Amino acid sequence: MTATRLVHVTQCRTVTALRHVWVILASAVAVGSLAGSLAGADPSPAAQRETLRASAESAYVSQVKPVLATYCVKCHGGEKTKGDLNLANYKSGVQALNARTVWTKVATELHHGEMPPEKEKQPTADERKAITTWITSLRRLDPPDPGRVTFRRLNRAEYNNTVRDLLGLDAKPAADFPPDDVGDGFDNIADVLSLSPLLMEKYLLAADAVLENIVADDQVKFEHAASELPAIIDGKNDAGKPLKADIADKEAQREARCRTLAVPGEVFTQFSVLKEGKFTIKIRAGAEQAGNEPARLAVKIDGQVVGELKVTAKSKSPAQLTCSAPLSPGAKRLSIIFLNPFTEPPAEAPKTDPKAPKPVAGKPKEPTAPRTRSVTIEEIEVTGPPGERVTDLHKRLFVALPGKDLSARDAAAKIAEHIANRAFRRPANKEQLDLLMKVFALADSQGETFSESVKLMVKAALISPEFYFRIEEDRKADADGVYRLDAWEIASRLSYFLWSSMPDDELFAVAKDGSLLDPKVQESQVRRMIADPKARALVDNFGGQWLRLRTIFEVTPDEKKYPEMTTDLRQAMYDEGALVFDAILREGRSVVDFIDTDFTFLNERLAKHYGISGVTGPAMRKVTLTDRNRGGVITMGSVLTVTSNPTRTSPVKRGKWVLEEILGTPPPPPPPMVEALDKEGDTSTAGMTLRQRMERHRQDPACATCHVVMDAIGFGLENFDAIGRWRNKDADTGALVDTSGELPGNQKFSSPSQLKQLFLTKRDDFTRTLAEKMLVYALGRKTGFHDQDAIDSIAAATAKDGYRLDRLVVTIAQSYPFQYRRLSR
Amino acid sequence: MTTKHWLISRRTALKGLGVALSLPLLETMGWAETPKAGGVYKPPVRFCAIYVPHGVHNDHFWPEDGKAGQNASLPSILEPLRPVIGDCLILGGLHHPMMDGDGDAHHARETAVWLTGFPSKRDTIENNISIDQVMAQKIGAYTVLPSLELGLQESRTAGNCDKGYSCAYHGHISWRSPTQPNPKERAPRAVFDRMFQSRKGKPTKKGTGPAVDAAAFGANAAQADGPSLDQSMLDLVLQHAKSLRGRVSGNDQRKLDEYLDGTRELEKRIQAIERQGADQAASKESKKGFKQSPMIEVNPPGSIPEKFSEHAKLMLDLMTLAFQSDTTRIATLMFSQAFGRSYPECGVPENHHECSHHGKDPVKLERIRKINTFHIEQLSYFLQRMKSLNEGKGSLLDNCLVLYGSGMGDGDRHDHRNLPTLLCGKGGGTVTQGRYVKSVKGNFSDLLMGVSARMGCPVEKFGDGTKMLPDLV
Repeated sequence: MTATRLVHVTQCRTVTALRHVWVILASAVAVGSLAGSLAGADPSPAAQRETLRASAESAYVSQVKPVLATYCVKCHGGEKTKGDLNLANYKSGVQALNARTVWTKVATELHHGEMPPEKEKQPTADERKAITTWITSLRRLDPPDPGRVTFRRLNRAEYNNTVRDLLGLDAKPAADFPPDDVGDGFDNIADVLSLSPLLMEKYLLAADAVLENIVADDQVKFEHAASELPAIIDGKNDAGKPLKADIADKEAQREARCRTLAVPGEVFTQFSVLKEGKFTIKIRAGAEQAGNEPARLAVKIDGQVVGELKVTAKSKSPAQLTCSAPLSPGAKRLSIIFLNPFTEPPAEAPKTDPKAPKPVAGKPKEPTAPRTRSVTIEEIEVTGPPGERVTDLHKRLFVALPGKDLSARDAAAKIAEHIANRAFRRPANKEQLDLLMKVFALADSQGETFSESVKLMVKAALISPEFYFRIEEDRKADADGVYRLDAWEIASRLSYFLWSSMPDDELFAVAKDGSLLDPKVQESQVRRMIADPKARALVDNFGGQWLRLRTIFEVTPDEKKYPEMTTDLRQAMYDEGALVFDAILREGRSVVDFIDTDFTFLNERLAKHYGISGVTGPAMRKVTLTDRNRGGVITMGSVLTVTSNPTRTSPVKRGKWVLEEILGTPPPPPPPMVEALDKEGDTSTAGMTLRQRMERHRQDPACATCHVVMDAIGFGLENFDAIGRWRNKDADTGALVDTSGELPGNQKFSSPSQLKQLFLTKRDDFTRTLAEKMLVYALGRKTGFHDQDAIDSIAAATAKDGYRLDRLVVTIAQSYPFQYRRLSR
Repeated sequence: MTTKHWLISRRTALKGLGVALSLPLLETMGWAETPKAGGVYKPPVRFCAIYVPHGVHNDHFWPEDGKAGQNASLPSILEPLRPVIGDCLILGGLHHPMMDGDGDAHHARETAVWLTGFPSKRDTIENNISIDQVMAQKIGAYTVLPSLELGLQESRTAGNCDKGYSCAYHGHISWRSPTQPNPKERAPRAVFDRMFQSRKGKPTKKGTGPAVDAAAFGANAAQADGPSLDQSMLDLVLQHAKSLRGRVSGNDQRKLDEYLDGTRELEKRIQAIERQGADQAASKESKKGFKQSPMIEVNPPGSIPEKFSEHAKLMLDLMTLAFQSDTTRIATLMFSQAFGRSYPECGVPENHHECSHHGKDPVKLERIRKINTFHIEQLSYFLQRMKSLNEGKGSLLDNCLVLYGSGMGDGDRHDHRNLPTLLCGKGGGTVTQGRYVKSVKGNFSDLLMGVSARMGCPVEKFGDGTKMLPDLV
């Protein structure tokens, strides 16, 4: 299989065994070794894997195990199992191959030169290479696996942004949702984002609140029971009376709402119109008929007749009658007038007037009591104007309105489709549209206005699973159970990665025509999205968590010792981190700038804190740094503060942070029952500096391995106090701060800036670390052994393009795990 | 309008409680919600669990053997409890056997195991349903809120918690299912609104307004005539989601199950509120002749108080009010969570976790003692408040069971044995108070089983427990 074939395969979207390196194609990194190993005959991928497995098993026994026995087993096998690693468990090739993740850790330790410890016998370069090559070869033994991201619930930030972009209202309704749990460093991890009844309740209330603000809140709407309203009956005023709530019988309750007019009279009320428009007056009424015409009502507004209604329903079962009128702003008097009271004359059977019409049927009319025509009004409702004079947000939602040529149902169907396509972030299917239309019909059938019915329908969309889960439904997959995501799914993955929100119209458009599956279009879209202000979401949500900037608002430095730590300062520290991240991302800068660079962002408050002059005012601006003890994230006030204790610095926490976030070598947790810095009754530590006490602690070999590096880094940063200010003396002890130290490999330093220079030599490790973190964030899942190839490729492509952060982002978006998904195994 | 009666059969009770205890218990337990004609109203038993992380300073927590009475000398941490010590049972020697042996992530697990009796699993989310939720499943339907989950500290918003263990573990003691922690409310105002204001909202006739606001309460009895539009809409969405669930697999199904469960709960909640007017009337009827203090007044401000004690006091008042008004019978509250916070208010500006690894340093130990005492002061406030409120023949506290403690015995050594544990309130007369049991005959899950039974929710087995702790009477 050749490289040409590879490219072709990619374009055909029928990638098979080589999807591991999908990303490599996009970034044009050499695939020589892999392509080479698979060249020649063309057996099935499964058969190839079997062959590789057999050779890896034998390679373990012949090449790897002897090296381990020589250098490692002393501490990690049999009696001693330091760091919980027992190599004695892997006697055979089969056993070794079943423990893939163990070998990943071994490879990391070897790569960083941390194991074996310096004082132990060291393997030769060839021996190291034999092991790392073997470990890398293990990646080829499994079927390709892009991972399977569980349906992801929108987290708080995503919910806010999605509602904003869907409906146009930036109301941040999720502000009082319970916080999302963090897993693997981020709060967007699918398996950790659980859904609780409390959250469902909040969702419903949030949907209500948002829609309340959007849907025509300038619409007049009121309804009254007729019995509550004043009336003039036979020339006499009748004030009406308030409704009683405690009537148990339903029919009696209904009757209590009615007014019956049997004599000339009117029921009236007043209301005010705020905006000009068409108003609908609905009257629920019934009548007792008498004479030869039905009861009639006139509807008058300010004395003008706007409608005349025939009441044909029975008084016991009134029906709704409607008329409408255009109204201008101002107070209005609405009156409903009974036009034709009538009482039959007393029966004078039989009638003798020959001119009178004959009784219709043959049956002679029986003498009855004289009948009186009366009208019973139950309820009067006024609504208006319907969606004409409304906000832009309202118009944006109501893409269709019922009119002469469009029924309410058809207008609702248009709105349903418009909202569902966007809320569910792909073309809505029939089932989804049916659901929304059923909800519309539900409200419509109960006499709600069009706006209210649409509101309920949109509310249903907003609490549907397709709205707040990002659903990627299983579909036909290849023999390994892997399938490529479709363009709509890719669009959503991109938009939630870069914007923490739904795709915009342009992204939807390239999803619709399928061009988004083209890597070139993908790249240009990603670049467009990075340039969009919405990409600030990546800064706040990825950057804010990766650098733990968010924590700056939660930490509690001792107020007495550090009264300077005000809300303003915290905000400035947060902004500094965010703006530096933003600049590196959008100015095409290198990720190396995170380690050390010559600029930062400051305002007066923070500049003063750093001891930098010439910055005035509260606005943050870019400042060129002359003192390179600052510059980069490690020496930012935010990072230095969140890795301190409330009353003092914590070299261990700082060192650990650098190991985890910069160098990608997180230390294992401390062994159980460690003794703390000071032992009971031990007075020998009196007067010792923190550093001296910790050095003593490190004499314990159980602690030394990890602490030797961690503490060296932490002490290298001791020039910064617990809230990130520069210092030469420790304020507690008065002693001069000693920031000299040494990293493995005899790398000496004596200041923070020199320490950073040493980290710069590890830029590839850093790039890989950052790539893995960002991949976790982009996918919303933990990374595993099966992702290692993709991570290597992403890091390599980034390095090749001058370590640019935007390249890193593009490459992640084009990586195999980002573009593919597999079925449940 | 049907008001369901919550009556646990005598047989269940006997099975759950053990014959020796059954008869006196049956007489005192308030588990027949609405008594049949001629019965006398008995208030229900309420349960509340309050969590503190990192264990305690053991030298100042445990009383001298057998002494916990009003006049006995109390260890300094417990001294604030003196006014209510007769309502407290101090339980020594409790632990979660499943936590034995070493492991990572002590702090994630100390929290997650406390009410679940299950050692959390790493690299995934797997716990056990917690005891409060066992109760909520059974008796939660009889109150507006099945249960209430509160916390004073915000969960972590960035970074890692305990290696390989999700922050979900150390942020939650209440677990609705093995994979679903119950989020906790931190803002007193939000809690209050959830409890009450929703019912005062302007009722819209047909309920397209806010679902909860639309609920019938007082003014609009009209809601009785069928489900509100919101409810009918939820029904339709629910059917739709079920059909979606039928098409998916693996963890995706689990997510949709959470959704379906949440939607059903929401429907129940709307119904419960809508039913409330009628239920209240019925309850008023059944409570004839039953004396109760007027509802306490709580006025939470719009923002969260910065001072720990003010924040705690509001939350404790809200719980008191929730119990008093029978808005819920089950609540959990986390005073703080693992890795802690600082307590400048009681003279400890240092971080709790940092101090808990004291290495026997007397300075740090003193800080731990101060923090422990400060926490107990808040507890004492809560207990005294509930004791001051009449309910039937006794006080509200007499009808409560307040479990207070930590999932760690000694924070310095991450020791999970001898968990500091207090059980306060007489549980409707089912617990003999004012004692110190130095070493109980059972483990922590046995205690949870004993408590659950007293709430009318006996379970045969729970977590690492096998029996009801015999030491409660």
